[in-house]
Amino acid sequence: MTSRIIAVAVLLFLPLPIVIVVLSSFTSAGYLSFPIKGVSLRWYAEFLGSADWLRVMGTSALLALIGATVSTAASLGAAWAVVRHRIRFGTVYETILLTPLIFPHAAIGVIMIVTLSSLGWLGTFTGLVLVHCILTIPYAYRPVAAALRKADPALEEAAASLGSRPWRTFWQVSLPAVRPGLVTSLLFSFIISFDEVTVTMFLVGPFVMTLPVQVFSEVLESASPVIAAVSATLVLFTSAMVFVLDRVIGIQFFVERD
Amino acid sequence: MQDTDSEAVILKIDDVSKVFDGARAVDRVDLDVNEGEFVTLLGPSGCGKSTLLRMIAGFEVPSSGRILMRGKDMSRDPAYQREIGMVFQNLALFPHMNVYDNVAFGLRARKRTDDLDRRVREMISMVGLEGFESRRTGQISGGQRQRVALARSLVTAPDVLLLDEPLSALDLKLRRQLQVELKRIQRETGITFIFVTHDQEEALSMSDRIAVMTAGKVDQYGSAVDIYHKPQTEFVARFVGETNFLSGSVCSVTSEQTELDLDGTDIRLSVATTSAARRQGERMSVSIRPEHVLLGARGEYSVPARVVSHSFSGATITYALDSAAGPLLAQVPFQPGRGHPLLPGETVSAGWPNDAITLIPA
Repeated sequence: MTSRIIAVAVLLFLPLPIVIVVLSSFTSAGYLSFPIKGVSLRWYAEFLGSADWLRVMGTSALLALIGATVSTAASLGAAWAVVRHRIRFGTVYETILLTPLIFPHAAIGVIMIVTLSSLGWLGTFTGLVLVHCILTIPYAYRPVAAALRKADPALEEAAASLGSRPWRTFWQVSLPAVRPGLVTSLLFSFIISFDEVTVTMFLVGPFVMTLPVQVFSEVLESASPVIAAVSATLVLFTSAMVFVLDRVIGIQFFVERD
Repeated sequence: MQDTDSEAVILKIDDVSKVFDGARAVDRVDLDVNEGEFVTLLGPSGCGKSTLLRMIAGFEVPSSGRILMRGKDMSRDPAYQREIGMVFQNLALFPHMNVYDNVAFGLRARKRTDDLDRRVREMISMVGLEGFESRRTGQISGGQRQRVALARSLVTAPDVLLLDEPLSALDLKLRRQLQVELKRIQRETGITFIFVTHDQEEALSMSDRIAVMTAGKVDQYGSAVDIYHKPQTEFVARFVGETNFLSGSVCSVTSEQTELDLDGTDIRLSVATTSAARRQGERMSVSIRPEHVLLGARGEYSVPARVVSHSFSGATITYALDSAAGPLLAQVPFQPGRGHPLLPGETVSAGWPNDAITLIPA
């Protein structure tokens, strides 16, 4: 009985901050507070009426879209080499791909400042795309590799024996067979990129800014409830994507291994 | 061996070997397959039969030797350029397509799309799957999946169809049923089938010719009757059905008859000389199938024997006997009401007719 009470308490506690942020975004007061004084949508109006916020949101969405696509395509190539062609040192290669998961993000941030400035990409959109690819590849690689391991290599031989040339086999047989992995990979790396703060913070500049980093710097400067409205929108957006993911593929696909 | 008209040879395996990491998976195999024939590659797992099949399909390149299709060397052509269909052991149906699209795939890939619909439906009806066209392959039974795989590989009317143990995952009853059906479809389409199996009963019941393989080599290639009744090696005799081996020494050889003194007895066997014959004084074996061993003083030869054990299997009883010439298995018909089976310890005379004996090099 006690254990059940603890379990319920934990389950209620976990989403509690999210609930508080969402509730406080509807405040009518001019400062961030909880419980809220009165109900209003003025902060949503301010968020969606601000060209600055919308531009930053657009940058983040575009960055996440390009990053997710590039990461997924690169992961497919890498996974193909490791899983299908069993290249030498495949598992070593796999581990290297997954290192951004365990490497301290602050350190990656510093390393990337050095790397990007030597390339002349510091504070540019291109630089952010590169870094976001590196950060999302571990999330993109696993579902793609898992899907490829599940897919039967005899499918491609079957297609060839039916007279299908390699490109046709790739588009009509190989790709559809790993489609669940590709969709998971795209959505998951999109979410990771869209929400990334720690590393991105080091790399933004006057000409490029992402939504989560903007939220962070706003919080430092003021306690405007518009931040709560932005956060609530982000939560809604991310939840919607996870929901879609669960409906389309099943959430266990990237929770379980293989 | 039956006569092979060179006009009718559709596929010729010419001295083909395949070496993987120094191991010879297929070792200098020669094989001719005639047009419209049902040929089986029979052997235990690891004997090289699947590797040979994969070389014919174009998924592996021979390390040496040639594979000729209608006289043209195609050893190095990619799989998609060969007019060869294949049914895979795990079937390899396209999971994201329905039955119809699976069957239509080959015609679309080969761009033979005029009257595609008619040909696909014709093939689906030949394998008895009308009404299942829009089902996903995950929504049909194992036997139906088998039929889809067959229809998919036959729709392009390949010159040769390769089948890699396609029935091994099915239960016995369904397996029997599909064996009959495969045979019917092969007759109806007239397509040359090359079938791989480790199941000797399956091989005997379906094939025009069987190539028995062991350790990468073809031990014997011939009709089912020849393989069973005239095994040329000890491996073939043992692998295909059960058999008794008795050994002896050659006492005389002529071009027609070989005489052999059977060990432990004063019996002198006189058998037709085969290519396996040896010179006088050398050791040889004879193979006698258990169903040819007769109990009671019958047959041209007989030896005294003692019953060690018996096992009943419906229509027949198999006795394990201890005879003067060595251990013998005898399989005799069982007729209810015609006396009791022999009991362990009883003595009996075991014999066999002369034409039941095959000479095997020792």
